[in-house]
Amino acid sequence: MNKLKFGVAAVVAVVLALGVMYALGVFGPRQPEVSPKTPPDSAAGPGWFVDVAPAAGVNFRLFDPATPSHLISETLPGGLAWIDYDGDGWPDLLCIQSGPPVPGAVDRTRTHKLYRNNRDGTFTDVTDRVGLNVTGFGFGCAVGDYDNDGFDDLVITYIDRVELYHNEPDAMAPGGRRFVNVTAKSGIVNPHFGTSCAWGDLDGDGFLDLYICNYVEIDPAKPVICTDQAKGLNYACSPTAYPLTSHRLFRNNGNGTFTDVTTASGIGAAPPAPGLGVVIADFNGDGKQDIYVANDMSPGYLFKNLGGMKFEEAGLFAGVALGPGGERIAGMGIAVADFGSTGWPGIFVTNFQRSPNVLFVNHGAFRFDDGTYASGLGGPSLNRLKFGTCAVDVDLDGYPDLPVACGHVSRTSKELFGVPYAQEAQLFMGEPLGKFREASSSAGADFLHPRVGRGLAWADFDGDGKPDLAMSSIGDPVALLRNRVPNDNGWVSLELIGDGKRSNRNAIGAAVKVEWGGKTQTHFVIGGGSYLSASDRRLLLGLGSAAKLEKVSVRWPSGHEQVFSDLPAKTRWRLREGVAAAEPVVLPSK
Amino acid sequence: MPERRSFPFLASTARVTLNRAAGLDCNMSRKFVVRLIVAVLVVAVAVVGFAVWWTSGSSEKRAALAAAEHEAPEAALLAVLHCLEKEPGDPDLLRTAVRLKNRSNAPPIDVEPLTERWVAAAPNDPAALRARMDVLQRLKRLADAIEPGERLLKLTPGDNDTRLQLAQCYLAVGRYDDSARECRTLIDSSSFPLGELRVCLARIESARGNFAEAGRLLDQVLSREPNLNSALLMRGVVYQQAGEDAQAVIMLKRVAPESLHERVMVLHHLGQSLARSGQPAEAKKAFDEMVIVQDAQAAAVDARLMPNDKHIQVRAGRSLLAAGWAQDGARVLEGALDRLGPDREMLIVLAECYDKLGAKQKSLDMRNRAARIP
Repeated sequence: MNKLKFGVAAVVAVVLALGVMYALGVFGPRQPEVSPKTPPDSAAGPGWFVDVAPAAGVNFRLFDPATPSHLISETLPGGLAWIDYDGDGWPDLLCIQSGPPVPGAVDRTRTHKLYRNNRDGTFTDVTDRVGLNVTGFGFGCAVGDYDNDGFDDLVITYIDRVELYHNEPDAMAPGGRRFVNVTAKSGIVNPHFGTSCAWGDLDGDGFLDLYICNYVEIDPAKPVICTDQAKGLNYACSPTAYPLTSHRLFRNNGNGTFTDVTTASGIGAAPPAPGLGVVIADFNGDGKQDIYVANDMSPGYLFKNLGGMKFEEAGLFAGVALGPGGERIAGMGIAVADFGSTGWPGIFVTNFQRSPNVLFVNHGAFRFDDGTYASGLGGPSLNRLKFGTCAVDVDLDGYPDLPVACGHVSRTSKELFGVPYAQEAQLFMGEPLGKFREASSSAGADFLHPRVGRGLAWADFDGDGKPDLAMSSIGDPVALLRNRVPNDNGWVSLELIGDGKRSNRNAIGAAVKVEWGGKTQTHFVIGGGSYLSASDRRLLLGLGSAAKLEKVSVRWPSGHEQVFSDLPAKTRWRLREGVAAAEPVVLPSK
Repeated sequence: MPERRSFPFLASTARVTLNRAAGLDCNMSRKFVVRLIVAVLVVAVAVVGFAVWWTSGSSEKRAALAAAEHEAPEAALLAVLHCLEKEPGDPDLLRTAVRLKNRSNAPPIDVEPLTERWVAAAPNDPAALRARMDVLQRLKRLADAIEPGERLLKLTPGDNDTRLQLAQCYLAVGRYDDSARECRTLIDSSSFPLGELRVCLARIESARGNFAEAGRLLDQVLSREPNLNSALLMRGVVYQQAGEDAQAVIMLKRVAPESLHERVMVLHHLGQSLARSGQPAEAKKAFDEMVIVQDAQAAAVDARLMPNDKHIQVRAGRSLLAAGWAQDGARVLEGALDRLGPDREMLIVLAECYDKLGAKQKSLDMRNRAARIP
C-alpha cells in the first residue's frame, strides 16, 4: 500500500508540478516584465487647476485634421483667445477651429466658437448670433481695438488667408455686439499659411498695426510627405523642407484700412523663416515698439524699431535668435515678463522635444543673456514638445509663473522617436532671483492629462482674482482650467486705457512699474504672445501677503508718465491715460 | 542549464512510478489500475511533449546564438528575433539582439525597446543597464538615462565612465548638486584628465549662474593647461556671461573647434561678444559663417530624410558646398543622380563640387551632361 501511495503521490506530484508550471506560464511565451513606471504623483490631485469646461458649457472640440500623409499643416492648429467682446469686464472665450487640409474641402459643420461669459462661471455659445460661424482651416488670432472705438476686434489667420473682424453694435445680438468681416475693405491680404499674429502701435500714431507670421509655403496639390523608409511610417516633415515666404506687416492708416509695409519697413528683408510665435513690446525702452518672432528651426527675429516704421533685424546680435549653445530653436510659443527682475521685458520661448525651453534675460539696450539653465527652466523641459505659454502669476506670490501646453507634432512619434504624441502640460513657478521650479505635479490631474496641447491663454474668467487657463489640444475638447490655488494671496487687476490719440486705446506697449511690500517690479502690456493665442490684456498682479500696491507708475505708449498710489489688494482698477485718479472697477453681476 | 536537467529527472520519475505500480496490492480494483495507467500515460505524453518542445526551443536558441557569433548581423538578428517571439524575456537572446542591432547600426529608437526588455529580464546585469543608459543617451532622453545609470553605478561603483556620463545627464536636466557630486568623486578617484573634470565643475557653476566661481575654476585649469580647448571655450562663454566681452573675444579666438557642434558654439558666442564690444562687422562675419554651417547641417538632414525630392537634394548639395564640404555635397548629389536620374540643376551643382575638389574632368563631364538637358 505504501508503494501504491508513493506511486500515486509521485504521479500526482508530477501532474501538480506541471499544472503549477503551466499556471506560472512556464510553457507559454513569456511576457517581458515592464519596468515600474513612475507612480502617479499623489500631489497631482485634487491640484490647483480643474477642468470645468463641460460644466461651464464650453464644449468646443478642436478638429483633428489628420491625414495618412501627415501633412505639416495638420500638426499646428489650436488658437484660442480671451476677448471681452461685449465690454462687460468679463472675459469671453474664442476657440479657433481647424479644418480638412485637402484642397477645396470645406466642412460647414465645424466653425470657430465664441462663448460669452455668463458672469457666474458658465458660458453660452453665441457663435452664430455674433457672426463668427466661420469655416476654414484656422490657426491663430489676435485681439485688439484697431479703430480705438472701445471694443476689441479680431484677426484670424488661416491656412490660406487672413480675416479681420470688426466688433460692431447690434442690439439683437447677445451683449449688443457682433463681428463683421471687413477683410476686403481693410486692405489686409495674406494668401499664405499664417500662424500667430499680433497687434501693436509700431509707428506711434495711436493706431494698432498688425504683424502676421507666415509658416511655410504649401502646395496642396503637391504635398511634401516624409516617410521613415525602414518602418514605412509617415511623419510630419521639418519646416526646413519647404519653401518659405516673408512674414507680413500692415500699417494701420487710421481709417479702417491698412497698407502692406512688409518691404518698405525692412521686415521683408529678413531671410524668410517659418514663424510660429510673435510678440510686440518695447525691448529697449526707447518708446518704440519692437517685434520678436519665434521661428521654427530658423534663427528667431528681433526687429528693432528704428522709427518711421523702419525695422532692422538684429536677433543674432541681441542674443535672442538661438539657444544656449548656438543651436537653432524650434520656436513655438512666447511669454514676456521681467524675468530676473532687471526691469526689462525678457523673453521665454518654447521649444521642441529634447531641446530646452529658452529664456532670454533682458539687460536693456538690446542685450539679452541666456538664462535657460541658470533659471531652472531648461532641464525639466527636455522631455516635452512645448507650444503655448504665458507669463502669469498663478499663485499670486508676486513672481510670474509659466504654464506650458505640450504635445508632439507626429502621430507616429512613439514608433519613430520613442516619445508619446499626447503629453502632459507643465507648470513652472517663479521664485526670487529669476529662478523657476517645476510644479506640474501640484497643478492637478486635469492639468496633467496627456493632450496634444497647442494653444494656451489666461484670463480670470470667474472673477475670483486668480488667473485661469484655457488650453487647446488637437482632437480634444478645449480645457478650461479653473485656478483654485489654495492660498489667500492678494492681487490687483489693472486695466489700462490709452487716450486713443497718442496712445492706442488698448495701451499695448505700456510699462507699469509697481511698488509693494518693499519690492519693485515692472509689468508690460504686450501685443501677441503664446502660440496662436491671446490672453487677457489686463494685468493681474500677485501681491503675496501685501495689503496694497503702494505705487503704480505707468509709462503709456505715448511716452506720457503717470503715477497712481495706494491701490488696495483684491480690487480691480481702470487706469486711464491723462486721468489722475484710478477708477475702481466692479464687475457687473449676472 | 535547466533544460538539460529536466529530461533525466522526468524519465526517472516515470520509471520509479511504474516500478511502484508493478508492486500493487492484489486487492486493488482493476478499475483503479486502469485509471492509474491512463493517468500515467497522460503524464508521460505530457512529459514527452514538453521535453520535445523544450529541446526544440533550446536547439533553435543555440543555433541563433551561434549564428550571432559567425554570421552577418542582419541574418543572425532575424534568427534571434524569431527565438525572442517564443522566449520574449530570455536575457541571452535579448543581450544578443541588442548587440546585433548595434553592430548593424540600427537607429537607437529600434534598440531602445530591446534594452527595456533586457533590463526587465536581467535587472542586475550591468551590461543590460549600460546598454539601456547608452541608448537613452543616444536618443537624448537624458532624464530617462539617469535611472539605469544610477542602478549601474550602484552595481559597479568603480565604473568611472558611467559616473562621468551620469554627471553629464544630471547637468543637462538641471540636477546640479548631483552632477557636482559625481564630478568631485571623479576628481578624487578617477584617472580621467583633471582639467576636463574641472571644466565639468565649471559648467555646473555656469549653469547655476555662479559665473565668478566658474571663472575661478577655469582659470585654475588654464594655468596648468593653457591650450585645453574645452576650457578655452567655456572660459569664453563665462566671460561673456559675466559681461566681459573683450576678454571673451580673446578667449574664443583661441579655440580650435574639434567638432561642428563646437564650431557653431564658438561662432555663436564670438559673434555676440564681438557685437557687444563694438565690432559689428567682425560679428556679422562670425554669424554669417555660423548660419552657413547650420544651413548645411539642416539641408544634409533633409536630404537624408527626403531622398526622392530633387529640390531638397540640390539645396543640400549647394548648402554643403557653401559650407566648404564639397566632398559631402558631391556624395549627396551623386546618390541623388543615381536614384532620380539626370537633372540639369543637380548636374551643375555637382560640377561645382568637383571644381572645388579639383576634379576637373568630372566637372567637365557633369557640365556636358547638363548642357544636353533642355
